[in-house]
Amino acid sequence: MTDLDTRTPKNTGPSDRWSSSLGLGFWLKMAGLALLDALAVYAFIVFVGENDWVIAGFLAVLVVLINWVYIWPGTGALRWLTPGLTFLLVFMIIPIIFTAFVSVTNWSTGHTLSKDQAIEVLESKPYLDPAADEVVFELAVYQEPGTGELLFLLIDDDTGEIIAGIPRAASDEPAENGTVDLAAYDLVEGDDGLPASIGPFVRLSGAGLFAVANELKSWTLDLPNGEAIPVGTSRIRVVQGAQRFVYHSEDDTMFDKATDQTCTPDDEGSFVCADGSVLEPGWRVVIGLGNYWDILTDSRIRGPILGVLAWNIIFALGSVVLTFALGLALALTFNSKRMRGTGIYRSIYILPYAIPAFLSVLIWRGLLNEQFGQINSLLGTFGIDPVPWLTNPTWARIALLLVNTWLGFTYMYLISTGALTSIPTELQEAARVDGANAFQVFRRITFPMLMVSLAPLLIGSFAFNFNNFVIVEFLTQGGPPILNASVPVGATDILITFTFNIAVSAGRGNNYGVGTAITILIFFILVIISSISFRFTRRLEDIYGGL
Amino acid sequence: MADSDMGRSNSADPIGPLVGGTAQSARSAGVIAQVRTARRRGRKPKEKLPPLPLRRWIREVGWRHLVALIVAFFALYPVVWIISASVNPVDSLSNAKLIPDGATLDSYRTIFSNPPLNPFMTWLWNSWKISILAASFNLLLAAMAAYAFSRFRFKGRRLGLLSLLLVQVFPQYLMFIAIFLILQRIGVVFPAFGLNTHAGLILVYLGGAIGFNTFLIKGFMDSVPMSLDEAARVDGAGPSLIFWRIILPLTRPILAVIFIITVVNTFSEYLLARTMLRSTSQLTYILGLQNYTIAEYSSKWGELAAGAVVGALPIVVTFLIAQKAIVSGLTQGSVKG
Repeated sequence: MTDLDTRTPKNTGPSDRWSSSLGLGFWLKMAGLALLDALAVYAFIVFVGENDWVIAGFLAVLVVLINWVYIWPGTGALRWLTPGLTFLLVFMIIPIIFTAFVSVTNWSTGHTLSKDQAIEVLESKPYLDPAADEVVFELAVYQEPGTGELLFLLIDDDTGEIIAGIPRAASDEPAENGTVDLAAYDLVEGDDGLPASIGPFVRLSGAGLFAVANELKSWTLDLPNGEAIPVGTSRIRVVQGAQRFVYHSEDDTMFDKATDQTCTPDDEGSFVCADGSVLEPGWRVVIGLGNYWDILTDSRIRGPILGVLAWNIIFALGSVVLTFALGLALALTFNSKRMRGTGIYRSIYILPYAIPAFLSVLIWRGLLNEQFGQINSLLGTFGIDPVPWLTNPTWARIALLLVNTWLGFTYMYLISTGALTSIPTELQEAARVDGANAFQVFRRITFPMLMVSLAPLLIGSFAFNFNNFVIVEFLTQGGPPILNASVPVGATDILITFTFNIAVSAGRGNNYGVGTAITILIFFILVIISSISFRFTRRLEDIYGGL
Repeated sequence: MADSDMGRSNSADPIGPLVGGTAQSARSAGVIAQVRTARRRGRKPKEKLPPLPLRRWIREVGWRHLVALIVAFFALYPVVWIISASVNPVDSLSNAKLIPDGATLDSYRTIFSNPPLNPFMTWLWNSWKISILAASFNLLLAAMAAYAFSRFRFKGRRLGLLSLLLVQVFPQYLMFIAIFLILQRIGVVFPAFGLNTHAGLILVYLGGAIGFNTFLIKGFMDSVPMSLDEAARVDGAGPSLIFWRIILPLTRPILAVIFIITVVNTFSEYLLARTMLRSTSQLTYILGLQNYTIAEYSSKWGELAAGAVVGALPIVVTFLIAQKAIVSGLTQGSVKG
């Protein structure tokens, strides 16, 4: 395939218009490529600066390849595939690989950093050294009359050293450095040796100082060394912290000055001290198949997971069977020459399908409320006692299947109708002539032929419901919770909601390692489902393919 | 079956401008005429059957309507009820009447006033923005890839198609942990694309762009006759022009269906959005409503109901209008979540 953008059309007429649009396209493409390259070079420099050679190298290769594709003539199909492939690579393939990698690490709250970062964090931790003296500062407050912005001078009582700084509200994020250099301002000398004004800032005293006195408590000044001085009153006492942990790289140990002991790294990414205490934070390490081993052998995790897996399969299977049964029954009901009004009925049936599932599930949750819900009051008019839909484990499961049937029967009805109309009626008629009754015709002819085209879609529906996160999260949130479980788990949790809780939202911190390990297990289940789907489809085609 | 169904929903003539603007060879004009006839071919008129006596009608047709009505009741029950709750002046779960006493639009007013604590309109706007942008880019990338597979012959083409199918076994949202950690890293360099940004989330969604949709579109492109390409090439058009002016317009029905379904799927996407987006003003509708439910569920039922109606209405209307096209897209395997 010749390169389009450098080709000059020889024809006149319409081609002239084309060639002008070609030129524009070419320049747009080049501009896009230039922008991409600029961003990539910038990112490359940043990552190299952080010593992240894996990402930097990957980025370099990717960008060189993209440039090659769009500049080298004759790369034909690749030009059309590259944009999609790039995103597929970065946000699908790499995440898959990365998921597998994280699953063999102990990546979790307290183990999110690399070892170097963890050491850095530990070494920056201060402690109150009883031997060190506390420092007392005198405070002078300056304010810019126009904006009300404050500037503080802190004068060290002993040394007379002055720290000038613009404070922040104590509730704000710490700044890197709140101090300012006095030399940058015009200073006006005051009576007591301190400036009366610093640039636009005017010293407050008397009533002026009194007016801001209450505010002062809420200010904090960040020092360049990472310390933050809480500004309280006009005289501040700060006990200057001392570095608590000292890392010795020669024997890879951490010395704790507060407790006077040496801490050594263990296999699980933490420093463990002589008295057995573990330093926080630790770092992430590859622990091999430990997470998988835990899932398979640790009864505290294995027990809940087996329960979740069993319900997960029942839920997915039950959803497919119920929706398909209702959908197919409906399709058969409408499959009559004399049936009128199918269009109107279909417009009604499409509603559950058209409404975004999360909205209708929220509504169902209200309908199923035990005390006030419409369903129970409807049942009440028939003299049925209130059903604890969302609070009893069994009823919660039934509620999930009920709601999922409501959500899914339309899809099954639509595809069944499509499949029914594509079956030649001659066979059915021939069977009727041979004396088969309606049920036999359905059982022996219609249904098997339907399955040829519907089986893959049904298996697809199973795979979809197997990971149907939204309905579980929005209807029951996995609940009601199973009491006494060692991990947070509920009676209606499926694997993906269980994983989500473990990985990001549980109150006990994030455990990415175990979470990704369960994800990999879900992958394997999906692979099995898909290969069954593939074989099943092939077999059905072998059997009925000739028809 | 599917093709003609979809064509009907699309009354505009996609190839008109091209025919008008270029000198087409007689052969390709003939092909275009054929495509047009296929599009215009209407619904088969129902056979006129003699009316049945009442008892036979009940036995043969009547029960069908009974079943249909029961299912219609099942389908409509929550829908009707939620509309009723949204105009109920009392923010209560239980309203005995279909049209509550003193029906009011107050709940809708609250929703549209975009209250700072629960900015429904901001969430809705975020959702539509993200869904439409992501779906548009998605469609473009999928169509480009489909074009490559349909019109180019290259080494590894079959393998490429097959591996695309294999990757689809793993839904992208399962990788939410890894994607979260990756986006965290991207945010270090380009904060505009990091966590808690819409741009970052859209980029993530594009990871699933070429996949199953590529197959659907490719199948459709394969049915566009090569003779059209050849005619255009004779007239001096290159691959880009053929793509934009011939292939895309002719595959517009399937593109429209996939676009609608992708928008709705993105609109309803939860896991990735939940892991990426944090601050109240950045949330999408699904996240915002969930937070709202957790915070105010028992007391503000009317507003939740109104919020559901407001969120669902544009999508429901689109589905009702584009029903036939969507149904035929479904039978080919595109799935809405």
